[in-house]
Amino acid sequence: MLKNSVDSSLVKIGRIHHAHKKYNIFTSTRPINKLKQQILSLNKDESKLLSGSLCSIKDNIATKQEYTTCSSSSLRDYKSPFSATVVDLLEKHGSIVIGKTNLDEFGMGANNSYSHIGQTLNPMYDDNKDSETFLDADKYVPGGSSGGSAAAVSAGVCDFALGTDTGGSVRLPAAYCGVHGFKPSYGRISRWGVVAYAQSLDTVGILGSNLEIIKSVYNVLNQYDTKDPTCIDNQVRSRITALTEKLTSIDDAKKINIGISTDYLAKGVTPDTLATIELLASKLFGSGYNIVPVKLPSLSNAVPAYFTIAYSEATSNLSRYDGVRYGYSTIEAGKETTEDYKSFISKTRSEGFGAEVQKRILIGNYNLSSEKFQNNYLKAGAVRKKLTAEFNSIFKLPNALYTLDVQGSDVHSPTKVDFIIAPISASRAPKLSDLVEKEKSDPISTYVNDAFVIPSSLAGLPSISLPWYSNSEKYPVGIQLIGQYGDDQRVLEFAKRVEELNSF
Amino acid sequence: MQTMFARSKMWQSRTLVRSISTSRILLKAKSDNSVLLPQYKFKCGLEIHCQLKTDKKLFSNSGHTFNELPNSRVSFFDAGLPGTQPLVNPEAVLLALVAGVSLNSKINLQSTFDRKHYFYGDQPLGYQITQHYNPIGKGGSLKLLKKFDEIDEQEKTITLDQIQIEQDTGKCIHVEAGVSTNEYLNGILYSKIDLNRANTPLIEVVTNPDFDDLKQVKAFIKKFQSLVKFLNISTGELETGAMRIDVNISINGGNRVEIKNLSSSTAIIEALKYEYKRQIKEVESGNHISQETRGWNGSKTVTLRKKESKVDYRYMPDPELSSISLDKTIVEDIRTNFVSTLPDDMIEMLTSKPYGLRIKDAKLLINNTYDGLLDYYMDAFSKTVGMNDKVPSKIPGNFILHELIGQLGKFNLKFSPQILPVSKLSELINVIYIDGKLTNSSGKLLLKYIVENHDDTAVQSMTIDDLIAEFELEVPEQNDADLNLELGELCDEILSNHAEIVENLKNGKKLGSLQYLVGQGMRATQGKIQAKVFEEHFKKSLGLK
Repeated sequence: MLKNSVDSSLVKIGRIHHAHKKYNIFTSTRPINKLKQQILSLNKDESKLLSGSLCSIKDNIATKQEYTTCSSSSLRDYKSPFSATVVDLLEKHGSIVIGKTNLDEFGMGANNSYSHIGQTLNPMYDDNKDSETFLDADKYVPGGSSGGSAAAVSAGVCDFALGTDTGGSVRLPAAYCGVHGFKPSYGRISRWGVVAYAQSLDTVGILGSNLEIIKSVYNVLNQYDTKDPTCIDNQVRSRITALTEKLTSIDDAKKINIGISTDYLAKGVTPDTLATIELLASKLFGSGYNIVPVKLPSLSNAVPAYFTIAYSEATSNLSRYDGVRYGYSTIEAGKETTEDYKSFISKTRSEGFGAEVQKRILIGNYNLSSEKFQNNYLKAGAVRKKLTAEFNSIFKLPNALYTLDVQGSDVHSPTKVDFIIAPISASRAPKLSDLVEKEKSDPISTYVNDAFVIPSSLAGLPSISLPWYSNSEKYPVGIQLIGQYGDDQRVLEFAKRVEELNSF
Repeated sequence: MQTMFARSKMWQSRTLVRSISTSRILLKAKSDNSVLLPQYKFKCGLEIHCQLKTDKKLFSNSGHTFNELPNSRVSFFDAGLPGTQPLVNPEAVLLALVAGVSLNSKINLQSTFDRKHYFYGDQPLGYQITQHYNPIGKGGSLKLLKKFDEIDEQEKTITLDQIQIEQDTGKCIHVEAGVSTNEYLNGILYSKIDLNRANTPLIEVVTNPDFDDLKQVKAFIKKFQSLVKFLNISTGELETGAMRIDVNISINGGNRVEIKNLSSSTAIIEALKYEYKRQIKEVESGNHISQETRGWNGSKTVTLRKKESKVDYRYMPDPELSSISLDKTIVEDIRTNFVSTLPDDMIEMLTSKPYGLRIKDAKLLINNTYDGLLDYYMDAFSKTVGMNDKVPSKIPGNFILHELIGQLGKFNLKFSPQILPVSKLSELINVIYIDGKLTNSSGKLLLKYIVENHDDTAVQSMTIDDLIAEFELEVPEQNDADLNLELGELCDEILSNHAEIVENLKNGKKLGSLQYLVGQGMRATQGKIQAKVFEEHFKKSLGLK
């Protein structure tokens, strides 16, 4: 049970309007008066796991009370007749939803720039949080696509927020905004009611100001849901438990092996980030952990494979937004009526989707076209399998989704590891002004960070982004801890040990 | 001379009549195939979509019933709402497996689902979930037999390419609005969309182009329908759209033309005939047959889509539906539990001893045209012939297929065992043939009476004995002296009234006219006396054997 005092909760919701005005965090917020009433009417003796905690929900997760827009013009007035399993679970365990957060349209983006309600800004670098003024020099991007969720936690208006992580969309904004962001193993948390971007990768993630709250929320959401065909069933869950029980306790540092792969560190990492990883490694080594170099040769192909898979699935998933049954349609908008369904649908979609979404749909269609499909989509799937096999070969814990004979060979790591440490991003959050410049001069640059976060998405691995503080810098940078598939609990425990080392 | 002339004319006209009727028969027998010319080889294949008889839809929990209020059977998933996910209905997989096993298809133990993308108003997801890369069944066949299926060859095997499970779409109804108060609808063309059918489970069965003539096509469709009906896979109805068939046709190995919008087997045959002739005409005028999709408008085929404008469906494995993983023993399990008897086996059985039905009657029983009729027949057979061999084996068939079905037709009723419960029908038959208490003709009258008054509870509650008593239909005891006397008088009267017949019979001529005299007796006694009693009396009186 969370020990949130009524007073601190009231302070938090008191900040909502100011924070939203400054950082453009929410697509909608619940009425402050009603939230106040909810907080004041809390039963103090209630012992639900998340009693009285305040949370924000990324606006690609369905709720019944307000619109679920995915920050897209195409769904700007779409109200879901049902709510996501994750939202039901949070409310059942006593959490109070304060609002829905901004994102890159349908989750497609890494800076929270592609939203029909505009850019969300990063509260962490704002040195005058309480003031109305916001200097351009203090305006940083929050990362994306769960930028609104990271900003809500960072601005201190809620205890935690739900995001979705398809290729780093929880971990990157958490790192940029100085909060904790956990992407559990794929299939641990139900996706029923989570609007699909690329559902072989989509994972509900948790952003919070500390590890305790993340653990509590994870424990509530870590449930089998019969409504989601990709949610792992209880049989697999027990298999994972049985496998992890065989591993040595996390407390015995000497028996814990930490992997570092130069394949992660190869591209565009700033000295700043590199130094952080080195420091982390030396601290772990100093505490008795074994540091083991590991090889993941397929990492070099991970980014193109990811974009091929994600864009293809996105193209397919977004086909339903045709304006016929719900959402934006060109007729309803009072424009000219169109003669046939084809022009109606294409007009609706051209007007309803933003530029980035349209770009990704086009690329996805190209990859799915009958000439390219065999070459691209299936090849990407093969890379994904190979990468997963490489991960399986370096972790001590067998992958519960695979039978033992396809766990992969031992060539990549003679010593098997418990966890891998890696950066989250090449550098800190960019300034808003730099981002605009950079996108113009070097559009590929926004993909640099993807190399660090995408591998865990492709292999479905539990990964957490932790803020790492140092003597020299005012603001933390993100570091990433990765575990074998299903090893979520131990990743969270290990994260706690790592945080304990981050004192100076 | 005149008589001769008249006679020869009569003879002529008779031959004329005969030749007309013969040619009609011949025409009917070969009409479908008569359009085929030996120099233009006909080649055809079918693509059959068949709705599965499941309670729930393919990937959601909504029920799918026919003729419901539009959009009243639509789940969140069926409507393609954001955040919804598919869950495979195992019942649909089972029925697809029954179809696959009964059609000798090679069952795939790891079949998968794919998405086929195209935009249309009745396609809520923007794609159809189907099985493109790894369908549930590969190959397969259905054998047509001359003796059962009316084809020219002794037998003909039609091979299948594959069987796949897929979703049905919704329905679009295009309307032209008149003057409307709704400003958007005023005078424009618009579409009404009904999603009740969306996500209904289908199997798609694709045959190879094995058909050499139209009789085979017709026979295959009939046989396929009766197979899916018999195994309870589908209602197999073309009229309701539960089954839809597209055909492809080519001549002399040329380009294939696909024909859609065929709503009945007549439409299929007519469209094939038309298209065959059209292709010949094209070839003969030196034109090239282009590969295209055509539609049937009732009188001709018209171009719907040229090959160049073919849609790229951008097939993609569904990223969230896992494969259908089947146990190695599945084929045997399905065969034992669901496909132990096939329609042909059943026809074979019903046309052999002890049933001895005609092929036509046996087919009527298994076709499920009358739902539950086969069980009804089998039950009645065992409760009559099966109880006592005094009942001739053809009697239950006669009563059910001719009398009962005939009367139902007369009163425009659907077959239901409730109208005449098997127990009552069996009682009726047994009373006639075992007890001899009722004549066959009185029995038929009673059956008619029961059908006619099927919703009269008073009549329904009466037993056969009650009814016999009510209408005084009981055959009088034969050893009754008075009755015998009376019968003797009646027979004498009949004989004296038909002196010419009597004369002939005595001379051994026109022996069949004895039945006429029997008929007179029956009429006089209102059918209460069995025919054989009269027959015996007359034979005795006339000294016939």
